[in-house]
Amino acid sequence: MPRASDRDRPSASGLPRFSAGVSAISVLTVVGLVATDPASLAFAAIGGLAVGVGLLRRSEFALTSGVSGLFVAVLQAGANGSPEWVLGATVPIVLAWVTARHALRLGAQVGSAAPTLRVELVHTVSVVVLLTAGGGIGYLIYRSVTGTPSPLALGLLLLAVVAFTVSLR
Amino acid sequence: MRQRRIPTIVGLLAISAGGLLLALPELGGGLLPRVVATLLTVGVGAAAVVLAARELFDSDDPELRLPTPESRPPYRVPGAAFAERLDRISTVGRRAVDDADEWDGPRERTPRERVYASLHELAVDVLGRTDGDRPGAAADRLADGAWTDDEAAAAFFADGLCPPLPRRASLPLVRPELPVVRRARHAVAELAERLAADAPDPDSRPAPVETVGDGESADEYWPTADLPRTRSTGRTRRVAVAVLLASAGGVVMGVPGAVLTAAFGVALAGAARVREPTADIELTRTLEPRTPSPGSTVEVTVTVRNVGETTVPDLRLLDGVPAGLSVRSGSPRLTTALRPGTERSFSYTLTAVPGTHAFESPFVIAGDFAGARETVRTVAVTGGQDSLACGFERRSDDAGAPREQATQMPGQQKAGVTGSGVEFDSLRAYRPGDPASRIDWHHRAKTGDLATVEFQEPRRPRVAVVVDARRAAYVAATPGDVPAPRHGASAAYSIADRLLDDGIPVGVGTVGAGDCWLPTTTGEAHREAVRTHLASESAVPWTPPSKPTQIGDAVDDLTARLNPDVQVVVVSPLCDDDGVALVRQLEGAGHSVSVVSPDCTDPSTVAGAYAHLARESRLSTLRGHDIPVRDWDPATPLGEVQAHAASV
Repeated sequence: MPRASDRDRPSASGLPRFSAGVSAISVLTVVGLVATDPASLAFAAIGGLAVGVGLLRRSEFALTSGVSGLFVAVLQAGANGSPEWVLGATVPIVLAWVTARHALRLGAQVGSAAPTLRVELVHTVSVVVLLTAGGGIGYLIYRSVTGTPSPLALGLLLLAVVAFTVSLR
Repeated sequence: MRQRRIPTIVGLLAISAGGLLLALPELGGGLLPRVVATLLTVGVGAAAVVLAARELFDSDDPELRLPTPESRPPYRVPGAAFAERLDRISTVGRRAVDDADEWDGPRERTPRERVYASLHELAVDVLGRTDGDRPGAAADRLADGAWTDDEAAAAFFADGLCPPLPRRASLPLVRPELPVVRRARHAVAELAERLAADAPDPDSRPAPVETVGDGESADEYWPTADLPRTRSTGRTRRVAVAVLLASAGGVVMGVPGAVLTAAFGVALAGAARVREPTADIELTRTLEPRTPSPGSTVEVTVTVRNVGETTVPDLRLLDGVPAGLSVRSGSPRLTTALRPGTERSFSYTLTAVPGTHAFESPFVIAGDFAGARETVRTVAVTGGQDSLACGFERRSDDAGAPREQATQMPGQQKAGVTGSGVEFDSLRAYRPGDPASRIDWHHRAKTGDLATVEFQEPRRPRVAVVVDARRAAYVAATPGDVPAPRHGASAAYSIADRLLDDGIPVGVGTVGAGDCWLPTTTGEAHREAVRTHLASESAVPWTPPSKPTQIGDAVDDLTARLNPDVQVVVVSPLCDDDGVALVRQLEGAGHSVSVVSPDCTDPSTVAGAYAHLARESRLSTLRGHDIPVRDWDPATPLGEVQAHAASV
């Protein structure tokens, strides 16, 4: 008679490998990008560890804290650098966060026994396309400004961002 | 929608004005725009932080409650209560036992006292059966430890409840096994060995007890109450917080890059608004074979087809495996992305167990492109099969020789009254009107008086088969195994089938689950009704009832339905004392009761051996009251003897 432990192990024990891998590579990319600045590297390392813990222990809190740590590291490293660099370095952070959350959700709902690669690919590709499009438009607007923009214009743009966020919530 | 329109319009106006100012910087010169700009930036920044904080403390949509189609609902294992009691023995109880004096008055018994009480009762019973000891003598032998060679087992009853503790037990964070627990295990193993059961190894420390199905955790198997619904995955909310904080922080600290990153968030949140996550799909399921034999493998193939106009980017599907079946290999879950008109199949295998198993409607979760929202609903399978029939067949092995049936037809039960019949009973004085054929002419020749012969009147017995499906009866040898009441349903069907073959009217009822009652009658239609009810979930469901059953009420219900002369066959695992009470009370109500008891205990563990011993003790209690009990191992088919047990 088969023992219960062999047969009835919950299938939600594993994480989808592809999404978890994309997430891990993105985290490593961020760590590599900020490696020149010791303080940023420390933030990024701690944040990366927290993302790993969040994935392994299925803790949303650890995941979000880790991603925040990575973002702080990028801001710290790019504070005096170009905005383009910050924009580019944020892409892997957002990608890491989104794919990690997707992996957690798939792991909880489907488990690792069923193949999930197709859905993961579709999701990752759509997110990359979205991020590229969104970031590209933002960057174009930024580049279209020549000279020193007036503070009023910046204030109005901030208002626009907040208003859109509220409406899209 | 109106609530969203205002911020959208504000946003559009702001971005146009901002763009204009960027294009024509000379418009923004002067003192007034500078003051307005500062106020605007500070005000909007503060508002962003407040909004972000509010979003942060907002709660997500409630989590999805998804079923676990891979396995049956987990059932209790016999002896789990004993294992739990052993687990709960701690040094606290030791102090309570030590401190007890007669001034305290009654107090709650500690776990070790309860273990002692139940084991003592069991040991007295076992010694009585194996060595023929009277209860007093058995108790004496237990008290002086002379009953066994195992020192630890003997010490459990002889040395009191507070044996000296090992030194390690007083260290913090160390939880060595207490001597009293080890002794209790040895005592159980010794008792099991005496009854020639497969004695468990007393030195294997049991794994911590999983508390299974003690009420709260036993959820509905297929929770479809709040479906369909569309829920947010919580991502848009988190993105909004990040965008608000990053843009406000970037403006205040003068980092343009941080403000730029808000574009990512707006893109992610905006994409979620583009289209509702829907999936217009069609499901087909095929089973191979359709009517398997018990224990064989059934392959299930499910095909999903996108019949809508749009691509389904993220589809997750949980097939509705019936509660009674468990998955042997493969997974009943699927994830896929489907273009319009395309289809995808997946298959898995099930292990067939007796019963008619209806598949549930599969759970379908459709996500959007960005993964921000998902729709959860159940989709009915439109093509192929939606139920699996296994077992519960008519007996084909012995079709009963005609001659045998001829002798069985008059009935096998004496009615207790005399009249016409076959078997001689007595001779009485002739009364006018007695049939001439019953006048004893020999008597007339000898004495000259007319006398009439009285025969014993035969009567056809009537039988009711009652399946014990109380909450407490839902036990299985392992948590995912077939529960005892379902074995009971199989047994009840084979008993009823056999009796109906013999022309005996049979009724079928349950105690505990539902309110199933088929009156005592005969006929093919009745046989089919019995089969349908017992095979499907209508009489004995696979999920335990949520409430315990009051034995008194159940017996009242049954006796109200049964004539006093109906014999009752109770099918019960006898894993708790209420099972015994049910049988005894039915017997007390005047029915002639016999019992068929599927054995769902697993004597290879200490807790299982305890449950095995306790069940043996219940069986012998019933036999002591002259109630025939058939101990049945569900792994073997129920033999013919059970049918006879009914008609004895």
